[in-house]
Amino acid sequence: MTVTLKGLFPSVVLPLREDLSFAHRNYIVQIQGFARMPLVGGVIVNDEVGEITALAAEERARVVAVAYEAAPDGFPIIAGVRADTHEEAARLGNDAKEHGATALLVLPGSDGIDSPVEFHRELAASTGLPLVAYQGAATSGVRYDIDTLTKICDIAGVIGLKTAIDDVAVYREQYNAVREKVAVLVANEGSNLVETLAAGASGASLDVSNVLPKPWSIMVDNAIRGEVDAAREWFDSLGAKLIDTLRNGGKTAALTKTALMMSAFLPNNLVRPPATAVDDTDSAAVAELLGSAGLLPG
Amino acid sequence: MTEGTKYWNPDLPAGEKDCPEYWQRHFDNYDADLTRGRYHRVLGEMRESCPVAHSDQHEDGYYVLTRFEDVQFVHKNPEIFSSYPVVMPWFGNLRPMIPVESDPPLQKKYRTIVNPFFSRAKQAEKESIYRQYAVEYVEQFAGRDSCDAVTELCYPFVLRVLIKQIGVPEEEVPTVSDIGERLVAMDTSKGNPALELYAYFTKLIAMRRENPGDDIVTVLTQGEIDGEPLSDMEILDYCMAILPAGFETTASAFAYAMLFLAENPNIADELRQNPDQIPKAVEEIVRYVPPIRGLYRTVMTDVEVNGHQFKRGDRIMVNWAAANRDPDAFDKPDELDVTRHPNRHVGFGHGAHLCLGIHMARLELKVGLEETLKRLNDIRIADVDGVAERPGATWNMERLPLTFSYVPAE
Repeated sequence: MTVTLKGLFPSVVLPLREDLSFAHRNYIVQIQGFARMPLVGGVIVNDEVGEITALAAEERARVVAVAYEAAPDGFPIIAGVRADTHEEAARLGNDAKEHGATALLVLPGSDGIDSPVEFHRELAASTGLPLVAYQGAATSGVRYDIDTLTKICDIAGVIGLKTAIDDVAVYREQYNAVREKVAVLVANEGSNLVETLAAGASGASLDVSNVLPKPWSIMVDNAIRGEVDAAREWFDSLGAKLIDTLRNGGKTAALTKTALMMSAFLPNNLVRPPATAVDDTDSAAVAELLGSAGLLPG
Repeated sequence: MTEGTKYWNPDLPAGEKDCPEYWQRHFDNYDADLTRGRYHRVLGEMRESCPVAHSDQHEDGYYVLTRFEDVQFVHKNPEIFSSYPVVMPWFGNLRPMIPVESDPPLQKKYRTIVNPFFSRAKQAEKESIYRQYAVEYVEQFAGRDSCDAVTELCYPFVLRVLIKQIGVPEEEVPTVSDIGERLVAMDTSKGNPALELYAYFTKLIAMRRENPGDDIVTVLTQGEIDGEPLSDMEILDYCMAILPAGFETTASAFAYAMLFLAENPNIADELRQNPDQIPKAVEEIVRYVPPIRGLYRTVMTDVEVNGHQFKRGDRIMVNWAAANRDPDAFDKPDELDVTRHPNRHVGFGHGAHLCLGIHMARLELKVGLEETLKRLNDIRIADVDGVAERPGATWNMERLPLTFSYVPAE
C-alpha cells in the first residue's frame, strides 16, 4: 500500500478499562471516528500519548491489530516503534507489520538512538515498511542535527518526518533541507503551531487533536494552504487553550482522556504508569475549558 | 383553507420553491412544505431528473440517493458507508448509538446479542401480550364516535409495548412514557429528556443486573462480545437508541395506516373482511410511507455509485421513500396496493442494518390494526384541517382526528 502523509495524523490515546486492560471496543470507535474525517490522513498508534512505554510487545501488536480491523481500506495506520536496539526495533516493527501497520514511526528508546542513520536503514530493510522518522523538541533528548536528519531522510524506506521542532526558524531550515525527500508532519504543540505549519508542511501529528479532531484538521489544512488568518482564528479561540490545558508532560495522556471522558466519549481517564494521573485541580481546569467552550454534554 | 378534500394530496404545490432544480440543490428532509404526500412526489421528480443530487442543507451538505439500486448498494456495503452519524443534523452524540450507528466489525457483534430477543419466534410468543395492550387502547373508544388516533391510540400503544419489552417495571411506565414522548417531540420545557432518560436507564441497568427479567435490558446486561461483557456505557448507548428507534417509527407507521384507512374506506373494508391480509397491508404502508424517509451515511473509502465518484468523508442520505417508489423496482409504485406481493421494499432498511425490531414492529402493527378494525367501523377523517404531520428523523403524525362507529368485538 502506498502511504500518503497528508493532513492530520492524530496520535491516538489508549482507552483503558477499570483494570487498566486495553478497552479495544472504545479504540475501534476512536479509530473509525478519525477515519470519517476527510482531512484526517491517518492515525498514529503506539505513540507516546498512546502510552507505548507502558505496553508489552504483545499489547502493542494488539493495538495495531485492532486499529487495522477498525480502519477502512486504505486508511493508514502508522505504528510507533520504540526500542533500544535495531534488533528489537526490527522484531517490534515486524510484529506491527504482521498485524496491519502501513508504516512505522521510529521513536527513540530509553537512551535515544545510537547510530541513527544505520538504525533507520536497518529497520527499513528488515521490515520492508515505510518509516517516519521522529525529530524531538529541544528538551526531548532526541534531536538530530541537520546533517544526520538529511541522511536519515535520504534512506529509501524513509517517507516521512514527524518533527516537534518548536523554533520556526530552525524548523524552516530543516524543512527546506528534507522537503524534497520526505513528507513532513508538524508535531510542535506550541503557541507558534500555525506559523510552523505555514512555513511548509505536508500535515501535522498532534496529541491534542484527540479532542475535537475535525476543527484541528481544518485548522491544519488552512495553515498549510496559506489561509493563516482562518487557521489563527480557530487556534486563538480554542486550539491554543486546548494545548495549554491538555499538554503537560507526563500528564498529557490523562488530561486528554479527561477531556474525552467529560465530553462523554471515553468511560474514564485512567492511565498506566509511567503516565501520571490527573488530580482535582487538573480536572477542574479541563472542565472549565470545556464548559467555557460549550463542549460539556447537557 | 384546506385544498382538496383529502389530507393526502401529493399534487399540491410545495410553496413557491416547488421545482426540481430547487430540491436538487436544497433538499431538506425536514421541510414542512413537503407534508401531505408532497415529499414523495418531489423525491420522485428528483429520482427521475437527478438520482445523485447534492443538497447544501445541514452542516457541509450531503448527497441524496433516490434510486432503489443505489440505496441497496449503500446498504450492502457497511464497510464503505459508515452509519455514524445516522441522521443530519447530527444529534451531537460523540459515541455512536448502538447498533444503529455502529460499523463493522462491532455492528454485527452488537446485534448478535439481542437478535434472539427480536427474532420472529421470540416475538410470536409475545403476541398475546401485545394484543392485550391493543385491546385496552381500542376499547377505551367504546361509547365514543371520535378520537385523536395519534395521541390516544398509536403512540400510547406502541410506547407501552416497547417500554415493557425494555424492562421498565409497570409502576414506572407512565414516567418513562412521559420522558419518551418529550424526547421524540424534542420538548425541553420540563428539562432535557435525553438526560432524564440517561439517568433512568442507568438506574434500570443496575436494577436488571440484580433482578433479571425477560426483557431487553436484561439481555444486554448478560450479553458478551468475545467473552467480555458489555460495559454500562455500551448498554446505555443501546438503550438510548432503542427507545426512539422502536417507538416513534412504529407509532408513525400505525398512524399513517390509520390515515390511509380513513381516506380509503374500501381498503379498510377489505381488511376488515380479510384480516389475514393485514400483514401484507403493513408491508405496503411501510413501503408507501416509510416512517424513516431515509438515513445518512459517511463515505469511508473513495467509491463510485451510479457514475458519481464519492470521496472519504462525503455525507449521503439514502432515501428510502424515493427508493420505495422507484418504477424500476416496483410495479405502479405510486399506488397504495395492500395486496402487493412480493414487496421487497427498504422501508425497514436493508442489509446489515435492517431494522433490528422488524418482527416486533410487524407484530405490533398487525395486532394494532386487527383489534382496531374489529371495533371501529366507518373510520373517517373528522377534520382535514385538524390533521398534522411532523417532519423529522422519523416523519410522524401529530394529530389525526377521526370519527367512527364503535362496535364491540365478537
